Amino acid sequence: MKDRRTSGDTAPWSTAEFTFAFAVAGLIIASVVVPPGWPFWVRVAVAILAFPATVAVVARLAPILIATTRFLAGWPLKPLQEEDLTSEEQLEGVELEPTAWNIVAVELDGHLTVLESFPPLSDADPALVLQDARQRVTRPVRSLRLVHGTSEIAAWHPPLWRRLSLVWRLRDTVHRRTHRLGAIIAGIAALGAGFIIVFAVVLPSESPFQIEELVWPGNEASKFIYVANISDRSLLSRTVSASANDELLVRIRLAPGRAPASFRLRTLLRAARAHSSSVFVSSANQTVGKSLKTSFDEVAVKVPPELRLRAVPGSTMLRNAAGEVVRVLPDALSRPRGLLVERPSLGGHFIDTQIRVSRATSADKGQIAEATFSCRDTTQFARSQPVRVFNGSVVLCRVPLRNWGPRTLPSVTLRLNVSQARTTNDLNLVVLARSREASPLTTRLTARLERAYSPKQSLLFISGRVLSQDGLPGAVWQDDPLIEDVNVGLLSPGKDGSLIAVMKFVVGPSTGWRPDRPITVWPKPAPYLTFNAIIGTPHYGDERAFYKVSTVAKGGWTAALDNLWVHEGDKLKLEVFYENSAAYRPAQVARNTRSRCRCRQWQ
Amino acid sequence: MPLPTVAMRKMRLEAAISTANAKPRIIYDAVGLAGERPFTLTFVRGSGRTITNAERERPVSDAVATERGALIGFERNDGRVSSGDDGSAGWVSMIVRVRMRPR
Repeated sequence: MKDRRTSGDTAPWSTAEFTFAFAVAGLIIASVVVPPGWPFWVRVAVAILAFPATVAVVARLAPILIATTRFLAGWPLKPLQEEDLTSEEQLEGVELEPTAWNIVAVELDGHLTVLESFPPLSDADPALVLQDARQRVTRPVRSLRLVHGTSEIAAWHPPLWRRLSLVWRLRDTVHRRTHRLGAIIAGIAALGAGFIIVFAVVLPSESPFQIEELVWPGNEASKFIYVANISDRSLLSRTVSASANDELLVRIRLAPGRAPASFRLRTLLRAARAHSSSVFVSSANQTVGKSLKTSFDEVAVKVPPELRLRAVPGSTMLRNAAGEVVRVLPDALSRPRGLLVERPSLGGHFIDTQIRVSRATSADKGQIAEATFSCRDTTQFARSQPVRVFNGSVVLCRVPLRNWGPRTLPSVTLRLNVSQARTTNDLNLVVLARSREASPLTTRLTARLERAYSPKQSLLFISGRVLSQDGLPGAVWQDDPLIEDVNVGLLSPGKDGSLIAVMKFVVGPSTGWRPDRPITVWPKPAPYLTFNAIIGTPHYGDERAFYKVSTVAKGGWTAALDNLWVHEGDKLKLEVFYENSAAYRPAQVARNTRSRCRCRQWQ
Repeated sequence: MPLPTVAMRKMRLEAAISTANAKPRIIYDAVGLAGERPFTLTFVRGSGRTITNAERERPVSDAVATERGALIGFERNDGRVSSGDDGSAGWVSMIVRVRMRPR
């Protein structure tokens, strides 16, 4: 018996076969690349080295696998065309009797095999002849064809159960052809599956560090503390209260079996200053000042006195007018496993850098504007609320929303009308928003946060704790420090939530930074050596606005502002924040860095 | 001195960070000050300070209040600021006093 290929299967590799080979190879390689515990360069090196070999092996086996799959799945086969048997090339070497009946088997890989040849049976039913012939077929075939010369007079396609039976019965035939390569691919598949199971399922996917408990002395002072995992830049945060020289006790649980990593405990004060306490903890039992001996450890962090913590009215909880607790975003203690929350921009976002108000009609001293807020979403709910605005005011406006979901989120708009201003100066607005129901659900805020930085975006979905005296919606506050530890929050779909818009009104120029330059959104560093080119950093916000001024009030410094109303004898602190925004490279060291200042007439 | 010697009711203070090899070489930002009467600002000598993640607070030259500026840096005031997540940021501060023109 000799065999030939059908015309459609002459190509050694079809597109489907290549796709199949690359898909399997990609799956196997992905199982190597995905594990987060491996060092990055090791993973890249393994992937680069393993990919060609894997593709070659899989591609080698692809035709056999494809054929078997087609056979088992009952892949529709095209009818045996006349030209398949009449072409010279096809007929070369195939012994077909032109006047006889031939039973031809179409093999799995497309080859034609002449099983039998006998004289035409004029009184026989071709179907019965084929049925009799198929009993003698003991290996898997796509189909049997009864041809008379070059004309097909009957065909038989094995049904699924028959295919399975044949494959099972003839597994030795298949096995002999593929036992060696089959063992290799089975081993590779098992290895890939093992990688996937071990690294994606068994090992935890979250940060190797978790805050188990955070203990702090409760007193009047307030500050913001967060723990950032340096290796994957995930954020674990917790709001605490502490005074200078207090010791914070951080109990940390290490996830076992992970590669060495470290985190830095950093404190923020007034959402404007950053101070790193330089506490490093690693799963390799290396700690500055203290070693980790068990999977649970405690790190005492002493609040440095130079931070000059000051008392801030309010507490870590806020109640609104209805007596409900307006909480901060769920922190690391209650955040479910695997939930990633981007670091917030504490500086907020300027929705309208310049809103010019033309006249002053208010008789109230110091009032610069009267604003009306309205909010509308797809649930046709709207509400407006007038408030009076003073220079430096932080306005808290709570707008309830009914039964909204994440899909309705982009359609929520918040409008602001400013009128009756006392001065003709521009107003700067920083609008933050949060949901009262900041429950951790499945939505990630990464995309929204990025979209919020679009100049056309009018609402920044950042949640935060707004310190106020009574939490009344629409409350007006005179100072910036009322905004503390703003965090990114999640909006609860399907519930009655509320937007809380926090707006800061400052008389003065909107943004003074220049020149216009390419920016990156934190945590991505700049690709080249540049200064203050990152926005959305957790401890500063927009680094381009690096110049701030603060004054003395009640024995301490107020929060840093962009603009300030000064009085006789005021003591002002001018602060410049600088950061080399480039990714770490030894060569990217800024040289001859200077800070200077000058004064200009405010036009 | 870059600080105003002429009294103004509103003024705009600009700060600049300049480097030899960054791009752009100079970046600016400004704060706005306004008062009821024209005022001037007086620099408090010796009040220049800088703080980074690497070191505790250390003094900065009074030249920080001039057009030429003062050298700053991450570990010392040598003008060198390395890149990277932890070794790249700091603050420079100075204190001025407000002197209002008499009524």
